[in-house]
Amino acid sequence: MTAYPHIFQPLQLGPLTLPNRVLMGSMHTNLEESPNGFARLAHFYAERARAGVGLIVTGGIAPNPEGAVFHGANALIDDSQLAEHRQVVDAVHREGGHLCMQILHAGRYAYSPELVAPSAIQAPINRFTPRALDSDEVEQQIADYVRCARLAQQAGYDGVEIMGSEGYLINQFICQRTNQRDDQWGGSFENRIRFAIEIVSRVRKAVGKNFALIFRLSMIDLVEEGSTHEEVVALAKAIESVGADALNTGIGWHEARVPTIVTSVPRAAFTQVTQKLRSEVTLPLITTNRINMPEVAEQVLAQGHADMVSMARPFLADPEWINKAEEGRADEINTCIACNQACLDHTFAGKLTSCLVNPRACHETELVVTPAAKIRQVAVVGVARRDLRQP
Amino acid sequence: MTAAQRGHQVVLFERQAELGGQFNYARKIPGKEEFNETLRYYRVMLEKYAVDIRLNSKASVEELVTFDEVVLATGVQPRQLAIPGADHPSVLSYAEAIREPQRVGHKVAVIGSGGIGFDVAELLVNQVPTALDINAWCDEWGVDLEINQAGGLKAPQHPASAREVVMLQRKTSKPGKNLGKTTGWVHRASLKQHGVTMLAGCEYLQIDDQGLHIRHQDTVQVLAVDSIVVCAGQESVRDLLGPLEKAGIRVQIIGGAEEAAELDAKRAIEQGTQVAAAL
Repeated sequence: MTAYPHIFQPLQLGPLTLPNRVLMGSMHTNLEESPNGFARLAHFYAERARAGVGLIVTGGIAPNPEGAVFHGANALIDDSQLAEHRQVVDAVHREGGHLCMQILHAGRYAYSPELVAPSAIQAPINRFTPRALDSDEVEQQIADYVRCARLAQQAGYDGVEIMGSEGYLINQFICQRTNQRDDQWGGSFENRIRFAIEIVSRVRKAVGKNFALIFRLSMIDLVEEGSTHEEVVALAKAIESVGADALNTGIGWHEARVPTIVTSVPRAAFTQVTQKLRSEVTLPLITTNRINMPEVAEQVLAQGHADMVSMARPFLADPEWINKAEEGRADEINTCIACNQACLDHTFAGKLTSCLVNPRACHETELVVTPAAKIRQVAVVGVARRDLRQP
Repeated sequence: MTAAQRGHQVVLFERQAELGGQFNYARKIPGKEEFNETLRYYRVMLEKYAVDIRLNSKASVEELVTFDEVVLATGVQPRQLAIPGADHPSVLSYAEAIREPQRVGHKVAVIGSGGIGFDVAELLVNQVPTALDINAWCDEWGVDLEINQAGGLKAPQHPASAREVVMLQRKTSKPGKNLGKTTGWVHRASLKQHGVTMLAGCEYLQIDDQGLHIRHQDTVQVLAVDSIVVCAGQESVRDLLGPLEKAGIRVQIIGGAEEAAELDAKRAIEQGTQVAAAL
């Protein structure tokens, strides 16, 4: 009998039957671009799948080179790349897990001179100004999403997550802040969400029913000229109607002046934003941000804020989070303290992602802890500080 | 922990009454409550792997010679000021200020604007631990979870500050420049919301009953503060190293004891794990 009955309840997500309500959320690790990186990613994900993670979403993979988060970041554009993806997929499947590939087009957030966007408006966090796509090029971008999803299916992934939040390309089309077009892709709300709808609809047609399709929807933009709640609801319904299997939550654009994931953000601070959509759609809803311990996840689910919780960094901190929670060993969980020091700070500095409290994260093949060949007597001499000038 | 997990017989000598070292300071900073979890994790795992923990005990060289391996993780001590009046009663180390904030007066100068200076300032100005209260946090940052307006923003309500704090640094660069790339802006914004002022390019002259005398932009001035908290870096503690080497014991040094330049839990944990994985 588990202490967390809501977490350990199966969930049907499109074609996937998942053993629990926890999603390992998308993280770019920089292994995606490293020598031997996919082999190392396979170990990284497999270790987590082995310990009970039912569904993993990969780091963002771009549908074309201009959509990559930085110049040269991974884009899946042809079948010569399938072999490396299969290594990762097969490793996760061998452990009984499921793996969805995230398709992420950075739009005006792309840190490269080739960046494109709905309108030529520079992001406050990027030194490059995007070029506005013309109408034909918008069609081409959609075709690239579809090609990417089909390739992911050929590689054996169980589905894709289409990144529609955090201020990336799709989100840039949705909001007036970044979309000042006057063609069928801009202006009215119906026009601004057309890009998102067409992508989901055409991807679904291309991959068929037996392939999970998650859409990550920005439920609170936290920037001026972001979406209203009515627009979020209307978008969610429209995405549901064109064939998504689940909606994941996006909180805040990267340029928002509100912290959304650092340690000083309260635990589960944003889950009620997801809950506001629950009466509006029938799709499973996934909520996220600053959920790090089983009691937090359990409470979010028990309160009915969502059908599933997404955690990303907590699986850097402890690959065995699920097993420990299920076996009543939550006090053995190495908790994500949301410090960002070895994950996001590394990622943005071009270094490999790891974890302050778990240096093995993304170094599974190098930092190996095995039983000692010969047992030794070891003395560890701890803090001998003399910091008090005693009176 | 990693050494014991591998089967080694590990004794952990700790001079203090509790484990955790610098983490015991971090966990007291508003907005860093999560650090308590790391301490809980290690407490549980050290017990699970049967590490022999000896608190309040300073390991002697005679004791240590009996071990096969000795790992020195003796950490750091705060660097003291070397100016006239550095021993004035208004001066506290960051360790003292964090442990006993009630000793810090209303008007405060924080010397040093690195990570610890920011943490100490945060502790001194905060009245409500907003990281533990979603509604208070939303008010502070201007977040409307009901999304009544586009984007879910509302006018932020800057919280009242518990103290008047000025942060100083010798360097002329922007204060907080070396904080984390994805977190530094949050710390800077938070202190600004609490009315903390920051002065870069300061020369510290002396401390007396009037306060802290500094030279800033070629002008000598006195900051009439009640308390001065020194966050001017730290020095490695490794007074055991010499005697152990003299006794012919092989020693591995990790963490702040090895390199104290910037307090770095990330490097300390990584080094500890690597050393233990290779024992």
